[in-house]
Amino acid sequence: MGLNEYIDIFLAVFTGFFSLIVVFGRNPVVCALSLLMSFIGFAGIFFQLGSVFLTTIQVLVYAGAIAILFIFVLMLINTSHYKYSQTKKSINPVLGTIFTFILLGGFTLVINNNIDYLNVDRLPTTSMKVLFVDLFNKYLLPFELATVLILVAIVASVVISNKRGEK
Amino acid sequence: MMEIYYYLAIFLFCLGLLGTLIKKDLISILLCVELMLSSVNLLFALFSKAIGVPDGQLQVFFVIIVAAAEAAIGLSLIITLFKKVKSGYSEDVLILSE
Amino acid sequence: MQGELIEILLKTAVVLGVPLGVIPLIVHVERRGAAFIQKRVGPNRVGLFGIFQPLADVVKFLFKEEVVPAHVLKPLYILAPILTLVMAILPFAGIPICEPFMLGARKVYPEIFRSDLGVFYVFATTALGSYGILIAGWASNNKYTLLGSIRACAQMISYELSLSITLVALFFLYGTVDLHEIVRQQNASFFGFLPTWGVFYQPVGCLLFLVAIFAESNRLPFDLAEGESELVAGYHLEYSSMKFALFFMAEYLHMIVLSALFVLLFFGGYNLLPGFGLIVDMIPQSLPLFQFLSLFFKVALMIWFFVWVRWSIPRFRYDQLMNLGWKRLLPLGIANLMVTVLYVYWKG
Repeated sequence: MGLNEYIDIFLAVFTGFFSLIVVFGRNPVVCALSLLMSFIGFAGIFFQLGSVFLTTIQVLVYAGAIAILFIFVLMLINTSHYKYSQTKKSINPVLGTIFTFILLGGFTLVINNNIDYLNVDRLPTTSMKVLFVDLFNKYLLPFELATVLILVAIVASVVISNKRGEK
Repeated sequence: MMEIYYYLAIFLFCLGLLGTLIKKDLISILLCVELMLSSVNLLFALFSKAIGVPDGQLQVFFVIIVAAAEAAIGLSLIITLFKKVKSGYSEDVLILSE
Repeated sequence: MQGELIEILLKTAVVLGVPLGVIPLIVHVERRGAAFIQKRVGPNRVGLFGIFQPLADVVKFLFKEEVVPAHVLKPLYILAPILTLVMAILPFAGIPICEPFMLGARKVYPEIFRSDLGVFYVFATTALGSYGILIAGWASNNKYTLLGSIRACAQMISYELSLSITLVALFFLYGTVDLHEIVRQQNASFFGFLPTWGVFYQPVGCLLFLVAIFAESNRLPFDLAEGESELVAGYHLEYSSMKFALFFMAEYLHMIVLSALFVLLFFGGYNLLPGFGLIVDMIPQSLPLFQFLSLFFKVALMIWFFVWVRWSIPRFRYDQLMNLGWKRLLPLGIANLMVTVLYVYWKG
């Protein structure tokens, strides 16, 4: 096994470990920080797959903006002072776990059956020019719609949390 | 050896799904949704590499944009809700079922 | 594989070792410069002109007692300064110090991480710089540090916007993201004597970028996160000796990498200063060295400018700062972008 295979396994274990903490951790700040670590793991996986652009976009947007936003809001909403409200035991977690395992089994079956066609090793790094030729020709409409979406999100998030609106 | 990434991606997707169903804090639920979106990004990138076209990586770009917009709006909703209900837990937000 | 490893280690030693080693010098320049501007003397006891004062400071930091308050969250408390330093070091991997040159039979790229991303990578890793501050303020379990860190983080992410809008305008103007290509395009000259630096093509963008890098590195006039007169000491209040020194180093590293980026984008980067061209004509192999010296000199001037501004201008209030970032700089940046795009379209 070469160095690349060790890095693959390490990155997969790294990302998986921190994702387990995100789901099963108690303190929301620890969950958010573990999510940040798993984003960095994802960035490493994208790099291993040869796509430097996705690595940078992942670090820039996900790790550098979205995760900061989450941690910021967590600090403003300090939930540690409030106790859990009295709830009755619900069937939701058990049903949820069963359903999730069934789904996981289904996906694994599908991947296993087709694993021969999904060989990733043989392709070189994509350069950014090749990637972006399509963005502005074939996917021009989704691109423009994405910019409108971001504009709407900016205006909406300011309007929703505006203090002067509620009376 | 890269097949491990396929299994990682579907494992993370199901883990995120489990987290969305189990977690009690509102923000933790959003975190698990982001985890699901990230795992789907990974799958897109893997399939794009396996087939050989760059379209999958562009799709990742769009998914990231949508995830950013959704996180922003979701968080501002949570802040507004927190101001009204004074609690960050999903069980206390039972306004509709009163 | 062996040769590549040695190459990367050597590049890391220079591109990273020089800034880390120069930090004590910058600290000294700051203290003497502050004294000079404030019409007093500054440290001059320890060695000639107080040149060993930073060494004395380092010894003090090493031997001071590490007080870990009982009320902090230990793991995050210890993680925060390490994280801040790591995030401050990451952008250095994309900063080139000279032109790519031929060493024997192979082409050597003088940046640690060579990809077709260039400035994009530096900007992406600078964006991560807010994490250490956030975690430090939270882990200290103290209302004042939390407030200080939230303000510092909000300031950093707000001014990242102006930074990125200016960068986008620059990408349109230069037509490339690669820093080597950008510096090469600044090598020509207008009318025979004025170099085609970025500052002449994009004066508004240069000003915006300048203000943004002051805000990004939490330096006066934007340093209310560590405002001594307001919040005691802000986010690094509960940190003593070596951990505080790590925060300190991280701030100076941010300053250095952002000034290096500023010089590379707007002021000709590593293009040779007027006198060096004659020496390089005589010894062609020393071109990389003199390019590095030119870059070093320009970055040193920029850092002196940082120190100069710090002791000349009063601090912004928080609402003034946010007002400036969102309501003045961002629309100005967008207008700059539109004008640049029109210019590029009109030029052909």
